[in-house]
Amino acid sequence: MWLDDLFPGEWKFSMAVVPIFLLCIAPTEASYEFPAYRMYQYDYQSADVTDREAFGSSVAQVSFEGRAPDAKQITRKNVVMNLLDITSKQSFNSLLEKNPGSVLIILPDFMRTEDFRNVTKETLDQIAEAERALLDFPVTQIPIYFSYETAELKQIQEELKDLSDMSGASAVLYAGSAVLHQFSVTQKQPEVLKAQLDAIESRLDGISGSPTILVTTKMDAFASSFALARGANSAASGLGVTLEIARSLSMLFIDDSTRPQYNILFAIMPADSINYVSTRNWLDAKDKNENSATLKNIHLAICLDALGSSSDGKLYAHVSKRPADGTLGNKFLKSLEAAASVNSLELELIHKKINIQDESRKWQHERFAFKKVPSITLSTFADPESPNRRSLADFSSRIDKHQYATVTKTIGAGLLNTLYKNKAITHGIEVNGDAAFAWVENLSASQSSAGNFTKRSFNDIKKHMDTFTSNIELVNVGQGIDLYNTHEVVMSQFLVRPPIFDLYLGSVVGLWLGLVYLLITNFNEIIACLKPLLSRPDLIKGKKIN
Amino acid sequence: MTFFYFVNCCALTYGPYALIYKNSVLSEYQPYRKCISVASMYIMTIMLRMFLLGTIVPIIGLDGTARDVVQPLVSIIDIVGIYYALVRTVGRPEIKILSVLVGWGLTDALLSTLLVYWSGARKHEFSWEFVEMAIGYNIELVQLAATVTLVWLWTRTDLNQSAVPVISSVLLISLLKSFISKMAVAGGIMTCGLAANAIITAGVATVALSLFMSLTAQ
Repeated sequence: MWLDDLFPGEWKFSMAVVPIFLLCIAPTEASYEFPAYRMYQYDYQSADVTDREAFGSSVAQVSFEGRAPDAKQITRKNVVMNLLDITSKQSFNSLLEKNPGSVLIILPDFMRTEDFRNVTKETLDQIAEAERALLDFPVTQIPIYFSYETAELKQIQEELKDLSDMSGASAVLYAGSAVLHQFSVTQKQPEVLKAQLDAIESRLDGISGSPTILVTTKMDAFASSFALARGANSAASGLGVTLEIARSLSMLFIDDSTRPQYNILFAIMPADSINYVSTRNWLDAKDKNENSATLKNIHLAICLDALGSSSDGKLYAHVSKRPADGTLGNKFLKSLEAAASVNSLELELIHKKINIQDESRKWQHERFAFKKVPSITLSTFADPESPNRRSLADFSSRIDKHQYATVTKTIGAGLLNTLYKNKAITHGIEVNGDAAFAWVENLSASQSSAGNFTKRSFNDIKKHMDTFTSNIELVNVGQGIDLYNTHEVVMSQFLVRPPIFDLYLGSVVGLWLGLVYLLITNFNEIIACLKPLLSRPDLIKGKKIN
Repeated sequence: MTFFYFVNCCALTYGPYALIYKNSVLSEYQPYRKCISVASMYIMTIMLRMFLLGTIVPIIGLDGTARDVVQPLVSIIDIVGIYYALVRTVGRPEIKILSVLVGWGLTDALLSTLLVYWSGARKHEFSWEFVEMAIGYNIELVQLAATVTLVWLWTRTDLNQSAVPVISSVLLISLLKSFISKMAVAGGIMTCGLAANAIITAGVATVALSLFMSLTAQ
């Protein structure tokens, strides 16, 4: 063959490399690409255990065909379902027991636009129930993604519903016409984040030798997907009040004539939404480094948690030990109650003993109780298990602005009256609810889960505390917890034909080539048949030109 | 899906040419050098055609239907190319025609479709367009055979003068084939462009075959 001249040697064998080489270069073009957000993933180490316990979904890569959740066969398929389809923890767990390849949960559109005006209470309850199923998930190898509803995804879901599950003989018959949706995410295995988790600690110094009041809260939110966790109520509301307290009280601490007989210590925790691990680490650090000097001086720890929900005019104070008469905690509660009645808010004290057997901490004050620091948690939630504390739908538009302003004012007034022996004239030094809400809007505008907090927001908080308080310090509180990267990916969807279709097409092509072969080899016979019909030499043949 | 589909499309497009080369009368002669020279003639022809298209069509400044008519007419350069290829090839009539057919057609198919299949058919997403393209090129094979035969007949000296206009008109029809099939689809006579293409090709091929058989009848 002429190829022998081009490629000396056994070219036939060297040509065998070509398909392998060609296979490596595989261009792909997706028909529809959309952002998808991965389910949370973290490792948590409780104090008395040496190993870390893993939570959430630990795999990111997806390459599976799509199926509706009620399809007969979902093993190694990507199940595409709506958030509202998850009716209970049991139903979701039974779905996962069928071993799907991955799950894509479609979030309703109003969660993207943050417009909850037309959403019924029933829908909100359904969302809360679905989120309950998705939280506290033991680690799974199944990649679980969230994505907002779009017209294209809706259509894909419709097409998946029409897809009938077949197996065996009928699958072979219908394979030619079946069109499948393939979903793909090309991502490496998620890695542990190397980010530092720092608590922002600062103080306002009162008259020297004074006891300390600690005002603490968290800045991070928790939700089924870390990329979508905004935490307007669960994190930013308490943080807004803290920052406002720092600003308004700082005026008092400038001048010796107004300086109260208390120090105020501020501590803002970066990863407290995971069992208040940052508070635990902060307390351990204080214990170790200063030999508990600071801790012994804290006469009251005020933990601010979720102050923005519409609790029908109630503010809850959670304690693990009822503060005895004469303690600072009691004084604070009394002045808080007085301020609440002035602002037509109802203060309710909830006393719940800590269950030492249970490792999960429901409120921040429980961590302080272990270190024998008197503590109170102020919150507009009565039930610590409420899924709204860790919700994907925790947006600033859902906060009851009026009540939040009232709560802010009450807490500020209560704190002020505690600082001074006599009743203080607080006109002009009020903790401003609008300013606190501005902080809430600012901080919940972008993702704010642990380790995922934007640098801009962190620096804003740090700068604010630096401006109004002194001795700002970043304390590393990241021990015992591992956070992972890969929160937002691009998922692509394209149409594929089942592999049997290729076989069909191959056989058709083979048949056709066989036909051509027969035609060519029997060409003479065919010509002989056609000759009488087509051959007209008398018409065509001309005179030979000599 | 991907690589196997690519292989399927390639087999459908280039398979017939390979079969002609290996299993018809050509196999006795192994005219690979002739085919390569025909292939180079083809490449020169299309470069010339591209040049002509680039210069003539903007000058006339036509668009729409007029362009659909003029552009194929510039493809007369193809006919000239085939003529030269035929003239340079030596041998029996069948060998001449078949070797020009294989050389010209295979190069045409390879250059037009290989990259398209490579980048398109290997995508994860499936599309029927590549199979349609392969079927179109199969029809083109028959069309090319007819064209080569007609040009060869035109070169013959022992042809009745009355047959020459027949040959010219059939060649013209084959050049305007895409225009006619587009008109047929637009006019609603045919629903599928490929089917219209196939019917015109069948007509042209029958005429060419009939003329060829008449001339070579002993």
